[in-house]
Amino acid sequence: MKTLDQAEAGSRVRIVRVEEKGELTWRLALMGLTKNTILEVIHNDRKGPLIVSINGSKIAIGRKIASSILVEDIR
Amino acid sequence: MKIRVALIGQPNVGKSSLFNVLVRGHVHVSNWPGTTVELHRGIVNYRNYVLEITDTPGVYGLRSVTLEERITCRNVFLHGYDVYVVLVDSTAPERTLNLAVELLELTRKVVVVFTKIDESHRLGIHINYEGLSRELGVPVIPVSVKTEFGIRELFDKIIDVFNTSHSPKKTLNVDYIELNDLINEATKILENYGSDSLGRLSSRGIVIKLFEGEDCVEELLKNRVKPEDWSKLLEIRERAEKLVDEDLLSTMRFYRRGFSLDLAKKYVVRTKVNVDKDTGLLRLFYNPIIGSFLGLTIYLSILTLIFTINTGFPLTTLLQIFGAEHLASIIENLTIVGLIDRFVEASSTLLVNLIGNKLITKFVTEAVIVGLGTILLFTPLILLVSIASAILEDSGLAPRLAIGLHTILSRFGLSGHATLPIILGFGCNVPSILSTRTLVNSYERLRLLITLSFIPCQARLIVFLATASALGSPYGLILVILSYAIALTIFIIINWVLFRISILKGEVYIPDILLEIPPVHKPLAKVVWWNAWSNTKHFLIKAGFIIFTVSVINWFILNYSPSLNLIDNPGASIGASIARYLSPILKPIGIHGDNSWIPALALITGFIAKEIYLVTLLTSTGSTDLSSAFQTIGLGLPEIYALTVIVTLYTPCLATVAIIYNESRSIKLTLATTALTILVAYLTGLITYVILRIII
Repeated sequence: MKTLDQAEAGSRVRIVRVEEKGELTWRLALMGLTKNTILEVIHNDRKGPLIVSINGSKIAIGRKIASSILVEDIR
Repeated sequence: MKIRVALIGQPNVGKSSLFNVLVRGHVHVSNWPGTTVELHRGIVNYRNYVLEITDTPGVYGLRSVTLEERITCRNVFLHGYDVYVVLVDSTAPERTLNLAVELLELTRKVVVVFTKIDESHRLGIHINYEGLSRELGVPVIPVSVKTEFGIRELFDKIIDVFNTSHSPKKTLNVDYIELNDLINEATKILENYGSDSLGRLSSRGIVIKLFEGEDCVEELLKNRVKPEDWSKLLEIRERAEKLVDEDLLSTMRFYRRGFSLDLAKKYVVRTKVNVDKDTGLLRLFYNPIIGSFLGLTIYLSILTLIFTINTGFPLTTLLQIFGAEHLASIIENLTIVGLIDRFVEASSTLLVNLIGNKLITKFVTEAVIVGLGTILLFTPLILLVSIASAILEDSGLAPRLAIGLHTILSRFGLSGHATLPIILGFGCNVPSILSTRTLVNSYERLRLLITLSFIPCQARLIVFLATASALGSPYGLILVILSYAIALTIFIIINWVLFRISILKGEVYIPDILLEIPPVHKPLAKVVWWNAWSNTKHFLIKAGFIIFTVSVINWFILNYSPSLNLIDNPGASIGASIARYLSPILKPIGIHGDNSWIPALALITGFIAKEIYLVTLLTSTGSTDLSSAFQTIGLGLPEIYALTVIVTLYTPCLATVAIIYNESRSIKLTLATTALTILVAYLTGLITYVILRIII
């Protein structure tokens, strides 16, 4: 298990837990980022925001938010 | 005040997700009376109102066939709500607009909401909400449950609609061709009853539903109208049935459907979008270093282009530096500001020649034409910025630029979401503040509401350029560069300070980016125009009135003495005596003496709009150009610089103040922001003066 900001570009991950509270969890849920969602990491350069793909739509997630999303790799 | 709101929509238009977002998940679940169908209800407190929102079962039309449809119809026809929110699926407007039309025939207490706008944008569907709203006569707003875009506006519109008293007669009129006469005949009978006894629904709408054979309406009418009227109504319906080839219901549906399709044809356009084109060049925006560089380059080019078209700057300044003075002045005359200046001047001269030099001429040329000229001047300034922003939004470039610039902005407590507001701010603070609505972090949005007015808009650019040309080379150009540099530095410092304060106060949510990236496509001219024009129009309506009124007041206080006599010498005017109280404040920046009231008055009137500052300097000194105005007042280089710095930083205009209040709904925040800008402006002006005194 690791946080989303550590996921490699090109990998597919499943969300295990979102460690944010309040407003932000709500926002993430609205975007479809909830427990058990499967994401594809399109871009992660370890400096700027991550780009992930979820159900065909692309979402940019800042590193701080990404570091509070726990994920696991799936094959 | 309590407002009972009903959500009405077809199945699968995104009704329950919108409902959940509106009530923030606080749903009260019970059953609809006498049934096993679940009733979802939620309470929202918003601006001193209590909104009781009911999620009605999904229906394809207002017709009782299934149990769920029956529930919705009974509640609309027999119980009624204060406001109806009817949902249209923006990915399939042709199919889902029909229900809104049906409801609008019955009542105008409606807000039309287009759902799934992220998805329709991805599909390349564009909708002219402004145009639809005009045609339907009720608010039409796009809403995204993903980003909560439009949710606040929806609440505001619900309250607006609740507070507007419409005559129920003025509902939407669909043309039923051969049935119109009979519909009118029946409507006349019902009009004797008054709308209160008809569930506050329009008589015509009820007749239409009666013709269609809707049970609930029959039930309503049987109880409320006299038996003889009821049999007359039935007789008219029989005649209508004989008039049409098919059955009455299908015929009426056919006409209504045609009406909805025509609406969709007029206000919806579709483009082809290649979904997975996000490769190669576009990926460069994702890189924090290349992305920032690309983003800044694109934005700077756009701003330069807009500035040049409007004012000639920086092209004319460059030409002057390279000695092409003649070419520069030709270009300056052809810029929008140059053209409008000449137009205003020419019309004033024309008026003087036509009616002669009377008081009314003086009033018209100095108050009315100056006021209208200011509005006229603003229009292209705002329009060009709106067009640029609409192109960036529609093409899908704006979110990529936000990602590219996120890393830089995050150093000052902002995020990539602040990119568009900041860039728009250079054009005009009003659309800039409006665009903060898309921000995720409410603290970040608050900080931007407070600080965005430090970004120098084009009105201030006009002040810089006029002052610069009065100063001549090289001090003029230095002034322009210095003003921008100081303003940006202040913007960054204040943001950073506010961010630190909020961390000390325990803010846990550090601004970060979270946004959906739509596919890129070529912007559509029609769509760009819809958006840009609607922006500009809103500005003109809001600010135009303020600017015009205040120009008239301004003329009055400059031309009348405190004893209300018409005077020639502005020094004896009401304005001058007010400004004399304020002028001692300007002493520390070296402005004193008999005429020190003039810059004081210019600063007071500049509160309204920044070019009025210039107008006041000219009219109060009785000069035609700024350099002689400066001479009359007795201003040297350090004083002019300090004064310009103050103009750059204090409250940009009344319209901005109004927008800050509108967006924050807090008088405290609006006043605090105004006080902050004035204080910062004064202190920075003072520091500038002291430093210049030491250098020169």
